[in-house]
Amino acid sequence: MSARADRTVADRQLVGAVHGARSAARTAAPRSTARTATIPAQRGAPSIERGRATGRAYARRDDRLRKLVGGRAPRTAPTAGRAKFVLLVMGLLAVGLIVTLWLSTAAAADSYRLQDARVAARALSEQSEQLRREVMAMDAAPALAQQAAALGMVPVQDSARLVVGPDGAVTLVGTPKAAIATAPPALPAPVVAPNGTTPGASTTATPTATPTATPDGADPNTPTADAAAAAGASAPTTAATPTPAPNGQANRTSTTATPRAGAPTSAPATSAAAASRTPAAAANAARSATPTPKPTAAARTTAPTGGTAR
Amino acid sequence: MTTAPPRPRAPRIAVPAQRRPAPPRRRPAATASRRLRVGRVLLVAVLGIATLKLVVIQSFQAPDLNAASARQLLTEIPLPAERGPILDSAGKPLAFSIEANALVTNPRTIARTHGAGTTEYVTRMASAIGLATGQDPAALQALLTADKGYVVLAKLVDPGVAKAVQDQFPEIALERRESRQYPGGSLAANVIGSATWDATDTPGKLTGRIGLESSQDNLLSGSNGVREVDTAEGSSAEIPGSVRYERPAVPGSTLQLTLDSDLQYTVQRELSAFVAKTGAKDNSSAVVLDVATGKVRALATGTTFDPSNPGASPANQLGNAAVTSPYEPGSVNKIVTMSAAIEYGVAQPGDVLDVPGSIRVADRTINDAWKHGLQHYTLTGVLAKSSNVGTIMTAQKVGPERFADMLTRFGLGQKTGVGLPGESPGSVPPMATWSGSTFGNLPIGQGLSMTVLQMAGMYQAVANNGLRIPPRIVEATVSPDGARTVPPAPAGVQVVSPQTAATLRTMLTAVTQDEHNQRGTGPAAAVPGYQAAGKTGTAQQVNAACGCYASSTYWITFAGMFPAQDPRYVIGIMLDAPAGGTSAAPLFHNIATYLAQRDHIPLTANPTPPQMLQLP
Repeated sequence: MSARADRTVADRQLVGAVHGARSAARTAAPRSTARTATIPAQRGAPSIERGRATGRAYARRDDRLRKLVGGRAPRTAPTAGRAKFVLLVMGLLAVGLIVTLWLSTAAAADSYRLQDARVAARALSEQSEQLRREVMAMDAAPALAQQAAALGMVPVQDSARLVVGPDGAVTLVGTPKAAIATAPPALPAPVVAPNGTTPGASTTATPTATPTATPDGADPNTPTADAAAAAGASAPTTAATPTPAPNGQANRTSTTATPRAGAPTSAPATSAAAASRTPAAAANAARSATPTPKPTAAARTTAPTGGTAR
Repeated sequence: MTTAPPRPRAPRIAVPAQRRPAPPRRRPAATASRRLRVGRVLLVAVLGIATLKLVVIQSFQAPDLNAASARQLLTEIPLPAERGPILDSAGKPLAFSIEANALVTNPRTIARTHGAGTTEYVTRMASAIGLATGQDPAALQALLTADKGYVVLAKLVDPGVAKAVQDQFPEIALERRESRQYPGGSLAANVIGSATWDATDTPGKLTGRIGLESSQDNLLSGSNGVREVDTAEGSSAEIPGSVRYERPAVPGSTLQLTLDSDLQYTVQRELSAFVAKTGAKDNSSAVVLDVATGKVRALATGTTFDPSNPGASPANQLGNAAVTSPYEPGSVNKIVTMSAAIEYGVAQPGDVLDVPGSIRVADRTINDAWKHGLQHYTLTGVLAKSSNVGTIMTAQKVGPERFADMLTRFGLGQKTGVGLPGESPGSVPPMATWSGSTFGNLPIGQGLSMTVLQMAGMYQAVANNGLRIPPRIVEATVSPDGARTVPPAPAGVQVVSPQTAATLRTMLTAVTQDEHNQRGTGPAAAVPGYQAAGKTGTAQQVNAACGCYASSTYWITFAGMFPAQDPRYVIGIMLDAPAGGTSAAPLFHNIATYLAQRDHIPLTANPTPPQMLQLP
């Protein structure tokens, strides 16, 4: 009752009206139940087969109902609408089912594709890691030193320097000495890849700078055997010189070479720094340069890990 | 209930009697209704049973069943965190990690599945794995034929190689590993240390064992993540949308050191060559510091190890003697007396001292290293010629309090806090414990000990206009999100005034001067075209047998700066018990020469003129 109390006045009147109709129907058709009031259409449809009086009674009842409830359309109309609605719902359900199936199939297929893509990405990242590792191993200072030694390069210890004064006069600082190829350092342990193999090119160290070890620079006119014999017999300075020059000249070429020889631009930079630091001392305003008549020899004697190399 | 009434009743009501015959249908209808009733009862019974079962499953068995289903579906996928790399000052990696696989298998299963053909199969397997990994096939075969349920055939194999092996032999399983790579081999191994795979946890992880890898393990290792996800049974394919929980892995941070790879390589090479030549012990060490910042540019020990296989080296080579083993510095310590003398105005470089051949301090007589009568040395000469007697005479003028204070200011007896594990503070006897002869020992660098890093730190103060900046080896740390954290610069200590420091530098150049009759102790350290400042040192080692100073084994030291006028590098060298007559000055020369070439250091424009060391 409390629920009913909440309703509007109009609602209450309507409900009252329906109640009235029900009681009226009961009196007219005593056998029918309250159900008849709600589904009159079912009874109305087969009314053709009923007797005339029954038909009239039904018609009257419908009239009364219409009067009481007010302007309702005959109950035959909703039948078609309901069927459509049911079809629509079924259709929607079917479409939903299909879409769901399709989506889950697609998701499963995507998950496998994702798996494949992950495997591929993993393989690529492994490959890149391996390449990275090889680059790092070859870029490390000991590996560079080894490679340089293998190419016949000799680290210069005490390089002599030419100092160019402001007046253009050149002074020799230090004593030019031969760069002696020592045995390659025992320090670096071979860089071992995880599978136990040495990555990249095998960098077997060549202890002595033999002409055969130096690429490109070797003069084709130089008999390799001669040069090798010379290298074995005397200082590696001879070996480092590609041309079959007399020993004295070879010495000269090689001794004065410093790592800076490879990069001539760096010498003026140094000189500028020297000059700016000591503007007053004109005589000593140093300009270090390197007397390297033969660039090839200079390159050959460049210190393997020298700053100019990078 | 708006449904139509039951059909059988409808004809009874609506259809008149003349309608189609009922009698024949009445009987089947009665049977049908009985069937229906039975059916209903049956259905209700089945429904009841189903309800009961449902209640049992949903309430009583639910936890067990849920757990079982989770076991079947839920997979915890560990997300490994990559260990952070260690870089040098230029960003070149000194250590980094890559993925690798371990090959494991179950020999018992192989024997069971292959029966009689096992031997032939195992031989084939061993040779294939041996070929792929470079291992000895015979050893592999022994592993494969062992009566075990789990053997590790290879520890660190390239993932690609491992996959190929697995495709060939499905019995082989792959376990994830992380391989620590040291591209420089033993380059700076004494500093970096080593990290190896630790399989005690699941999943295992790379764990630092030695050096910075160990002391900075928390920073480098990061933290593993985990993903809880449903997977199809027997497959690793994840069921989409089934991720229940995910904690991403946090990779380790990057550790950038102040070391310079090239310089480190050169110093290490030169030192090990020198150690080999002179027969010095393994814990000889050398350090190069940057003068302005106190950053460690190179830190080498006599011998070192291969960090990817630390087990192959004897235990005494695995340490970092440069910070862990202190030694008595010898004459290098005379800089303390000289600093105090000049700082407090006790003496000037040109002051002439009348130096006898020996001096008595308490109950001891201290001689100079060479026999001489009364000589007239300048204060510079006392330093450059390394006269013990002259130094003690000056120290006595300075006084023990000011001397002890100067030792503290130079950072002796205190850890430098360089950032390396196991650092020794060295030892300086507290003043209260000094005996009468102690003040005869300390000024000449005996009776106290320091590490090569502390020794270099003293000379860094002189080179840096008196401001001592404790050395540091960690340049920065870079967190996984790229945030770079530079540790705060250590507070400097003004040891002496800039004027005193400049005077000391000039005095120290006399050590490398090579003039007739005015020769210092370390002319071999000189670099043509430049001026080098430094100090040689020779300290007697303690003979454990008698508890006295041995007369044949020495610590040979050299500490200096280069170039002398505007120093950029400080080099400290200690040789432990080399052959007699060895000087460390040539090693200083080699390192300084390399620095001059590499850094294009301008030639010394106006060198200090030769200084008077002794009066004729």
